[in-house]
Amino acid sequence: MISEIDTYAGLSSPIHRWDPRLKVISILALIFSIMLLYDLKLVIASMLFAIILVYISRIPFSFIAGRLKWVFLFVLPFLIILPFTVIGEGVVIAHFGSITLNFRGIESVEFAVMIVIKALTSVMLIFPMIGTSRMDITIKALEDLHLPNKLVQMLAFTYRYIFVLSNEFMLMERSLTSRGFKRGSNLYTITTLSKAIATLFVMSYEQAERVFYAMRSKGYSGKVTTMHEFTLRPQDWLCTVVVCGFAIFIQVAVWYGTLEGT
Amino acid sequence: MTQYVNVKPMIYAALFAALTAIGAFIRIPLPLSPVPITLQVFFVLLAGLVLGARWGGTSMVVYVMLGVIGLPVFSGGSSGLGILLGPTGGYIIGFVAGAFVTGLIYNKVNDSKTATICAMIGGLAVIYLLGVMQLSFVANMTLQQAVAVGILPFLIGDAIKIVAALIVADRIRPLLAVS
Repeated sequence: MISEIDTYAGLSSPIHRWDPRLKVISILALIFSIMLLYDLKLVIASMLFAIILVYISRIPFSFIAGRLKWVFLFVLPFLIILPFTVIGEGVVIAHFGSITLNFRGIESVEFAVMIVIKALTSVMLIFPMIGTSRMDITIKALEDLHLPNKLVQMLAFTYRYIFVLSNEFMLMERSLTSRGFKRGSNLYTITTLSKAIATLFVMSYEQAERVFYAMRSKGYSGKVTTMHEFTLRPQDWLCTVVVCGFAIFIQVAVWYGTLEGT
Repeated sequence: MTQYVNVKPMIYAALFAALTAIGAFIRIPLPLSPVPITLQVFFVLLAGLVLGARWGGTSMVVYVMLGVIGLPVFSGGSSGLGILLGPTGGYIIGFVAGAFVTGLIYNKVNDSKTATICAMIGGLAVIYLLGVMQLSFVANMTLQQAVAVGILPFLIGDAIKIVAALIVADRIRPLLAVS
């Protein structure tokens, strides 16, 4: 179900050694900057930059490709639909009531490709951002970034529950399968899965109680505690300048391009 | 003792955030629809009904944040700020507003089944509204096209989710109240 995104947090690379606080802020800024782009060349350049970051991070591409495959399948419909729906003049292909399908030419295909590449790039950047630090350290970094304490605690709770609950559900599914259950487009499937989900909720509630009491018994005081202490070094700032610099560069390039176009 | 009282709703909110995350991976094929349903919207509405406006909305904020910082909890195992700002991001942002509105309407009306269904329809409408607006804006579609692509295929599935959430909410509310 949900794989451990920090599987390769134990590797050693400049991205791994980068201060998690600056890393999260810088890469989020880069993703934000990429999402504002509407220029295919710059989007492709951003994707290449993301690939370089992944390469430096030493996270295996096969691990990332496994995740990107599902994201690609998720965004694939946009690649098919967008060339026929982008607003503008085009060749009318079909009418569905008051909705008209037009093919808007190669520009609309480029637009669709750009949307898909942006989505894939933003997901790819997640790996150097949080795949290079243990999740508890990332959460601690968020607290250091002055995110509301309650929110940070709930992030920590939720992160734990997700794995506990997905394990519970997989066990339930295995148990159903061993008794001959097969998913199908029928009422029986819906009823069976509904019962399984209700059971999952009850089990998860009990699990949540146990986790909570366990945390309290271990001295949980409402503060995120790890053995990790953050210290900023010149290398951290260098990485930040490079990544934020690229984020600013692509926006300047857009601005410059707009100026040239006028 | 005070901390214990404060932490309880946080635990429930975290629980619903986790369930919503897992809901993205539970796919149920439907007899009358080509689109299999996932259970995210089901847990969003349930969070609003069970936790109320404030904590229901908060649980979805946590869910969205987990996705933004990179955990693959959005549909299709996607994650990140890019997805939130992309064509389908409006639906994800709508989860926060949807749970909040469901809880808000539910708290204002009586405990009848009709009122509960109205609360969920209100929540769902907000999710659709934000989803379609962002889809139309980011994907450069007309509103009509965005509705055709982003609402119509999901209507049957979401109607089933509302009925299911109604049944489940009835059963789990006493569990939470007793505790």
